[in-house]
Amino acid sequence: MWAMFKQSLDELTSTTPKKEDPVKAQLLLMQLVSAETLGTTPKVEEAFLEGSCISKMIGSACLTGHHLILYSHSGDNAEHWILHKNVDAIDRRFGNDKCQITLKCKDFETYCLTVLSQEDATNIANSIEVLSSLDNINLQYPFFYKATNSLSESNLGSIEEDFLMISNVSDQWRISEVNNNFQICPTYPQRIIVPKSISDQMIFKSSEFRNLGRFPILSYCHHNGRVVMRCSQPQIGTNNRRCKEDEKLINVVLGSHHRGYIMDTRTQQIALQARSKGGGTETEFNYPQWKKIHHNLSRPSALYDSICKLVEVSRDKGCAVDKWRSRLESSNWLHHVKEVLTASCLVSQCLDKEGASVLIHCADGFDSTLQITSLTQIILNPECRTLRGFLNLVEKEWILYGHPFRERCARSVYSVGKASRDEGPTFLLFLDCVHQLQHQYPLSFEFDGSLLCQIARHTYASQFGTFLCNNELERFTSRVRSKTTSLWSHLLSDDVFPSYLNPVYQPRSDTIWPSVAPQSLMLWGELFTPFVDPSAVTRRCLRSNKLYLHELRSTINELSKEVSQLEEQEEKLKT
Amino acid sequence: MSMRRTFKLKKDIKLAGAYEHVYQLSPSSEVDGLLLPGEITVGHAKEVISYVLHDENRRGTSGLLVCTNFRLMFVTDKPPYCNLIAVDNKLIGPQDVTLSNIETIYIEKQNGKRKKLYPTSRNIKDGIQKLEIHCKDFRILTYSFKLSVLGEGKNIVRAILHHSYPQDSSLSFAMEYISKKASKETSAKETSNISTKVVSLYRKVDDWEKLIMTSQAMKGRWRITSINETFSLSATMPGLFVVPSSLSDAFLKDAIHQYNNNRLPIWCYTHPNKCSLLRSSNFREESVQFQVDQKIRQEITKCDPSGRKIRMMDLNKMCPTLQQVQMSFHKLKTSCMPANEDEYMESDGKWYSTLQTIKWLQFVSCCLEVARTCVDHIDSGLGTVLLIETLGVDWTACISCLVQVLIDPTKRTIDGLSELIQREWIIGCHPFTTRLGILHQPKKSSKFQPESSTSDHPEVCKSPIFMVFLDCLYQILTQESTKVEYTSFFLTSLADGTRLPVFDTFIFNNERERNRTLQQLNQQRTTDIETISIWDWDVQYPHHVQQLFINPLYRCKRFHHLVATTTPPLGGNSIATNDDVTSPNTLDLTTTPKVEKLKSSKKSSTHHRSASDSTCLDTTTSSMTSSSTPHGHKRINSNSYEVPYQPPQGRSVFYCAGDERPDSGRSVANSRSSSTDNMAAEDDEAVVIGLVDQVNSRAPQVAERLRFVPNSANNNNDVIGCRDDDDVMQVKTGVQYLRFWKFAYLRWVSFSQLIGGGESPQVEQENKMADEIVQLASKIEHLEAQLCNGDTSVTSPPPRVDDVTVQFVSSYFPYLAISNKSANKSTLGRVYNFSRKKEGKSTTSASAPSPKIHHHHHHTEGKPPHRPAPLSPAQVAASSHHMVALSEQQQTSEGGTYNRLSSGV
Repeated sequence: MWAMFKQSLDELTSTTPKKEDPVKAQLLLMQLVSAETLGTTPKVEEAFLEGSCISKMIGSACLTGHHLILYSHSGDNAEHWILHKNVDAIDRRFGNDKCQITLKCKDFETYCLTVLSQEDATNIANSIEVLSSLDNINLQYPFFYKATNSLSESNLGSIEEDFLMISNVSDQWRISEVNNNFQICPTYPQRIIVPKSISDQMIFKSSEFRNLGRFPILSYCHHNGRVVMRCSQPQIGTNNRRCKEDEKLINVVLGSHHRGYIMDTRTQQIALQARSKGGGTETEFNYPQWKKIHHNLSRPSALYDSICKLVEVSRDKGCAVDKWRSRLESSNWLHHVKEVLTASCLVSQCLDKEGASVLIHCADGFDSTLQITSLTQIILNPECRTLRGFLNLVEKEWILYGHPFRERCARSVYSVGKASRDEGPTFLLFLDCVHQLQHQYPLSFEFDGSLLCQIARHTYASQFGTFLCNNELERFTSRVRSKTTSLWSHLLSDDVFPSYLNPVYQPRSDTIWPSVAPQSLMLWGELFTPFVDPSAVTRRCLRSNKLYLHELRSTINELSKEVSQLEEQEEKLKT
Repeated sequence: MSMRRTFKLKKDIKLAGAYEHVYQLSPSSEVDGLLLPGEITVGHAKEVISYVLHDENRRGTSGLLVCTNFRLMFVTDKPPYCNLIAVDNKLIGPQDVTLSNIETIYIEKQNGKRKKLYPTSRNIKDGIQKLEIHCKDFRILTYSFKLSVLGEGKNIVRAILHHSYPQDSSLSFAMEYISKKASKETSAKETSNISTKVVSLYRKVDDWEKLIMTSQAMKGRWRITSINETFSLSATMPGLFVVPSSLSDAFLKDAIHQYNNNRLPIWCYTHPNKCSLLRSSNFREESVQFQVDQKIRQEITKCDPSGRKIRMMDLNKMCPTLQQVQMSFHKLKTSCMPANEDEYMESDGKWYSTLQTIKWLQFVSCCLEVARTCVDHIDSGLGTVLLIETLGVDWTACISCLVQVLIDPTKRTIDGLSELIQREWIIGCHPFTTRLGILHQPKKSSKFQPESSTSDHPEVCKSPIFMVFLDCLYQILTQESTKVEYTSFFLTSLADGTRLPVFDTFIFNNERERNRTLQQLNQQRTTDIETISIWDWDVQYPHHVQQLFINPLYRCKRFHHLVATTTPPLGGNSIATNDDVTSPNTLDLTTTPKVEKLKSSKKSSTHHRSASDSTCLDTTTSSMTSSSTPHGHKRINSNSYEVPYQPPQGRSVFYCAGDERPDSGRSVANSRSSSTDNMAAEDDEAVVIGLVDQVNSRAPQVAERLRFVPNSANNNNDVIGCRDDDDVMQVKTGVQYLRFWKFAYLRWVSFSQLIGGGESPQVEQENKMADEIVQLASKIEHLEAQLCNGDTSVTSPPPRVDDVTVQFVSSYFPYLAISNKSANKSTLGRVYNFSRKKEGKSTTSASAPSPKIHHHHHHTEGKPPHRPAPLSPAQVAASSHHMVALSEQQQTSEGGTYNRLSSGV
């Protein structure tokens, strides 16, 4: 029976032409699941679900195309949905009287599903296994998800808005259509901002010189006119190629008298070695106005190893008290946090204190480069510390400029060995850095830590299409933007965003310099060690401080309203 | 201001010169005005350079270094390099350090050799270049004598060394201080009657009686005994203590010697469910009179009407040894006193494993865990707990305090906590002198064998148990900041208080020692002198600094009823005709007319309240009889259960015991007992549930308007009980959840601070919100009164405090100065290194290498040399909550724009 299912599924995924109506695909899928795998039992009546973040549930388990759903049998009508996409690994433990399936999820949670019949258990496990690793984008849940209330377009990452901001500071820029239909760079958006004095032809030349066509492009323009640019490594190769257009492109940003910095997030040695593979790093000879900085940041695969160890420690309830901290340290995660923060501070300082522009790249220019460009903006630009500003930043830096979410977030910490080399929590590390900033400057962010957690969870599995695909080209071909709902629209909708606001937010107009000393860095408890103690009381207490501040904030609002009402009444009386 | 000064100086160069001459001749006359009663100078050195801590450029200020019998004082007329923001301590200046705070002294000779001085060091020669003092509060002070007259350095170092390590507590400065102070103050005594706040010291029977008489659960079962009033039976027991009433004095007098250290099991706390907490030392091993111990335990069991079994907690096994704690604290100190920034940053990557090897947090976690075990046991009514320890004066004090804080809301107020510490630690005879190492004990044995030499003698072991206790309190604070009244600053003030030998609180090993010392003093006098306790904070801090003790979140909690009562129903017309409502000060919950109105306005709404909520019933009832306002305390004794509305989602607008700040915990105890008097204690649950339903069924629209919660629908479950006022606090004890107490341990490390970040600014922000609520509420009050009857006699709302933009408060406020220049580079570590390299090349930077010492050759004319200014009260008053006003936009030479603290000097 299983083989049959597998076969038909393969057929389905391979033969379904991409343009086929996804609803039809869904139907097919559901048909398959219910008819073939579970045979006569698409629904298991006696199931028992346990999880670290939910209370124990007894009820019936039901498998749909995208979810494992558990309906509680007790009177409270509770139900719990687990997205198949969220399942990272499945452990089966089949005994004589009961069969346990442990679902290890990408958001680090684990659930334990217990059913009585071994056949059911096998079927469920096999189905989830297959359904959780479907590659076909048209079968992904976001294409089927319809938001209950229609959400308005968030309009984040709009280039016009961005351009308007930049024109306030400098008139040296223009919007170019050179990347129309992604012809010169698939990982950049179609419309881009380029220096006025650089022709599209020169940009074309420059993109040929850069790895993956990622030519130097504007990321952030500071209020003093200095800019952060990002790109990928130059393809210097063994025969020392150079590209005059590329040199001109970045020199024109500096103006005539200024110097700039090029930050390469690899060590000098690695950068030079890359020449044998056609890559390389800028030479001081060809770029005399630029000073090189090498600040080594880890590759995604190294981050992946690190986070696996970290989660192993943080989820280990039985860990000995006096081992905990050294195990945490050996995961090296906080070291990565520190390095990324340091690099970002360095760039911020170049911009703000030295008044110098900075060009940042790694090998591909869409991993550590993006971490630095976005963190720099959070440190320097108060706008990015607002809720909308932050989401805008993520959209602008990470989504539009091609962080390969599909590759990086395909698997999570429980699939050690199975994960591809492209796997890596680059984006999660960025979020952790933001969390550190937030922890150090609790007043300076409009949003609170739970927003970061929420975003982190959505990067791995989501009903929203925001984090699907690797780049704009892929999103364009799959029509992600038109067919799926955006996470940003959800987060910014009127009934959702208030719960993510920071009740003690007090805007400040200047830079926030974080401390990068190890003593100041904290493990991100909300994400990595949430409610290890499942007792409801403890959970409540953990949140109470924040909720309490929320209460105060709304009390103030209530009272202010009251005051204004009374004042109005008084005015009326007087007249 | 400085402009004007320079100008005047130019005009009066002669005057300035003359002044300088005089000043040089007799420095002590200038210092005299700064001395405390009883303080005498014992040595000084002129033209000493005091270095700015951790300053890369080794900048410093020159001035006069004075050693007195109380402290080491630095007096200068130069403006400080950094704008010192410091707690305005009446006893000690920001650049002073008490001699009892001095841990180790290092000197550096001209040849650069660094040497550690020991109390026994005799051979101190001329040519001391530098003096480095490491303090017990982790501060490092560095002075240089390179400009002073030869020999002065040697003299002052000798003086410091001689006076820093007293060997007898009767030589303590406190004795000098109080005897001199008393003679001075007899004339001006009537002025000091303002401070009426009294913390029970538990040296009189009254205090104890208040404690046990008010508790219904204790009535008749426990009694106070005074067998040890003269301390003849036991040196280490309190003069008064509480025992089961069935044990006779004669029996106790006999039994006391069967216990180690002569400490009987004594009573600490009784829960309303009649389970108690007791502490004692071990029963003597060599004793053969087992029946004594048995009898005592039997009688303790009998104190519990249900006769539940006693649980013995052997803290010797559960808690770390004194020696371990001392070792751990020593390591902690080492890692928190980096010599420079590089050393601090160097711990990169090792910090967590260092923290682990230090073990400090593990010990804190362990204490909390033991406390939680006791709390669970007592709270769930499993029976009485008896804490046992070899000496019965260390961990028993710590654990018993923690248990009471966790279990009893009245112990979470500042007064409640103070009384608790007074009772369990001071009266309970924790040997502070020994444990804090206040007295120097000349040792015969080598000091490098601590394990073997001291663990055998816990009587003489130095061990900062009290610090562990404070750290535990800090962990409770971070986890549940809405439920405790104290702040981190209160805790550090306590810690610092142990090193301030002005109070009689922390300088004795036990009550007998205190009594004897005082007797000796009194023999020479006609009138008895009064000692000063640390709880008399007025001696140390002005009122505005004391405000920093109060946690704004806890303060806010008391506003809820204010909101509730001042909010009339929408379109309501004649609320304020009621005479009850005159000013915010007299607002209270039990204004029945309002309740009636609300009740009639909407009766039908029913609010489901789950059974779990009945946990707070006890407190609900107790609170009905009392209420308080943020402005003052007002208690209304009402026997009726007419309680105002209940907001939805189970949030209670009324007051549980923890909500108010009772005077010395009395009112709550009263109200608690009165409420239990009013109903049969055993079957009260049903009654009260009915009551709550009744309450819930009112709760009309006002309640809805009090909806504080953000509109996230799915966290309703969490919301219920977020103001649940559970009596028992749930703390997480795992090492993962504990925080390193940076505010206490790293507060002097300037480069670890954040400007505008960290805990302090958040507290300030919360304070602002609290103020805003009070102001809005009183404004509403005012407007209502005007609207309804044109009554203008209502006190007008207090003028709104100008919004002082308190944007940039350091994370260690109010401790550490923010220095002018290092602000940005310091937080960045390696970034700074980078920019420094670059600076050298480009030389565009304006900052030339600054001279080693900055010498201003101007003096204020006529004025005595001023000390780095603490906050003036006026400045502080500018901001309603004593955070420093500061918003000076400063362009530093490095081009940084940094708002920083300005002391206005």
